[in-house]
Amino acid sequence: MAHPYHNQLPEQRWRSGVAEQQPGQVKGLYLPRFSLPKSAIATAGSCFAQHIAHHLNSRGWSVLDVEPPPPGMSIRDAKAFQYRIYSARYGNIYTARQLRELAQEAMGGSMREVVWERDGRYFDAFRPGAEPQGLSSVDEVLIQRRDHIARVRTLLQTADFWIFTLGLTEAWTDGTYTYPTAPGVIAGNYDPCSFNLQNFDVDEVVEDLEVFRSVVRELRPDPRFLLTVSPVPLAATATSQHILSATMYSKAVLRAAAGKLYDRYEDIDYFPSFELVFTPFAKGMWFEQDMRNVRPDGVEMVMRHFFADHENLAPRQFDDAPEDVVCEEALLQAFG
Amino acid sequence: MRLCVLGNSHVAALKLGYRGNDAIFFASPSRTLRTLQPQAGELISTDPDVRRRLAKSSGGTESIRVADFDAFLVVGCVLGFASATGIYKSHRLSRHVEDGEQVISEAALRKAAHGLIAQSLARRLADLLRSIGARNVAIVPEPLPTATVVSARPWLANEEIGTTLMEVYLHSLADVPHELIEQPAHTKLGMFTRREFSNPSGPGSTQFCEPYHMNGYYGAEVMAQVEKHFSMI
Repeated sequence: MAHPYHNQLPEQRWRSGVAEQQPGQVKGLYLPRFSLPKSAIATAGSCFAQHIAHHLNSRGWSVLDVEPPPPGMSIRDAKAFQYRIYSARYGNIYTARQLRELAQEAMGGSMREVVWERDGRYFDAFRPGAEPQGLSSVDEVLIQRRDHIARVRTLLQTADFWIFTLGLTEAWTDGTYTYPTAPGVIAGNYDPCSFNLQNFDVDEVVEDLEVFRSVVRELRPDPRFLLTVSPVPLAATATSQHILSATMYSKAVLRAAAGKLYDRYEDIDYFPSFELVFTPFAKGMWFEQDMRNVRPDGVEMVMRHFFADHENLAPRQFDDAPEDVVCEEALLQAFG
Repeated sequence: MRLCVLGNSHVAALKLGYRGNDAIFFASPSRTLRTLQPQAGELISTDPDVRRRLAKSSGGTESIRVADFDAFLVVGCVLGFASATGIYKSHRLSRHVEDGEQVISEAALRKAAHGLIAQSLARRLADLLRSIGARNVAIVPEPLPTATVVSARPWLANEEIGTTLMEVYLHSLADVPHELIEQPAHTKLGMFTRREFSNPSGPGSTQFCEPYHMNGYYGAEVMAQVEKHFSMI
């Protein structure tokens, strides 16, 4: 008797597509919509995106860096100052709303000049980890921010291929802007009258990324976008939900939003890093003991899948320290 | 005292200014000296061309045997104020930005300057010598440039920038775990080397004619400082 699943391929059935596969060696999971370009790649996103940028560089792809470290700065110091993590020194961009606001600011929207203070030192509220010890004055923060924004503008005007890893749906806003960390975590003070938690839904994430896409398309003739969803669970939730439920909500929203955008636009691709690490298929084997951080071999496995279907340039040798992902979220674990 | 003087082009001035018989000079461009490797109590290059260069400058010895010397001097080799000021070509403190340079914090500037010193060839060679048992190892940093350097690095004409960079540079030297032989005070004028110590202002001048390399007069002053330093050990 005929039925709609009769002609489905083996990878479209759970038993042959998952149950009979070895974790980390699944076939046909990622079929790139388009090739990676040889140049003009920009990266941004949450912690996990750092791995993608690092591996692209080490495999010889040319990832743009419009805000490089000063000559002589060691790799370790550069990371501490958030250089060479992404294509500009914006640090982790956990939410689609942050990415949208950054692009709009860079292309002439209102300047987001909010400075947080800690122990007499001053921090850019939109990238509070960029200067580990803060700066000596509000003016210095603002001068550095204007320079940063000018370089992000250059990046937007230059990049033809954006890789963005969606990390969170929860964010803190003051009603006007969205912040990468809650005030008080790195600097600033948490005032419940001024700051609100916002937990974005699918439509909001889709709209934010559509606005970002529009900004880029006004600047470049044929840009492409690759979305991924970070498999790293939330470190903490500010909702009343259990952290597991909050994590599942967040990841479900982000995955659904990415799927919706993939279906809607031919210039958007989706790479299933989330599926490879987070789902029952992976049996939790790629997580560290804390069941949150992804083990180095898990990262390698994800990257192997990513590059398997892209042209692989000859790997370059790097005298690099072991990957040490910079993540403000970890501060929540350390300092509650 | 048998002295080994090892370094890049800055060795030339010291050789020209030296009137003794106890020092052997090993000189080769910095990029080539990076091929020196420790091997059974000596530093030897894997590259025959570098061994040839070292033999030529030393009068026939193509590797540095630790047992043959009482003291070691590493000269220049990208450890100097001039290297540190290069940061300002592309990155500057907010108060010094003039023409689109990337703004950096003072903390980042200090880290970069420390990194340049830590990664310098001079530091690496001194470390290597120590690792194969050399005692009495000292470094002679590159001389300060002459004031004519401002044509290539105009920001150094700004005294506030120069003072800031000099302070950062000197601070970064404090972490070098080797003895440093300071540039003789009377060869300096502010943050520059006096012109009479640069080529081609006197006999024994080096083949170079730019703000970074000095002449035999300068070399003699430094070697006097070196002898004084090692005689005190």
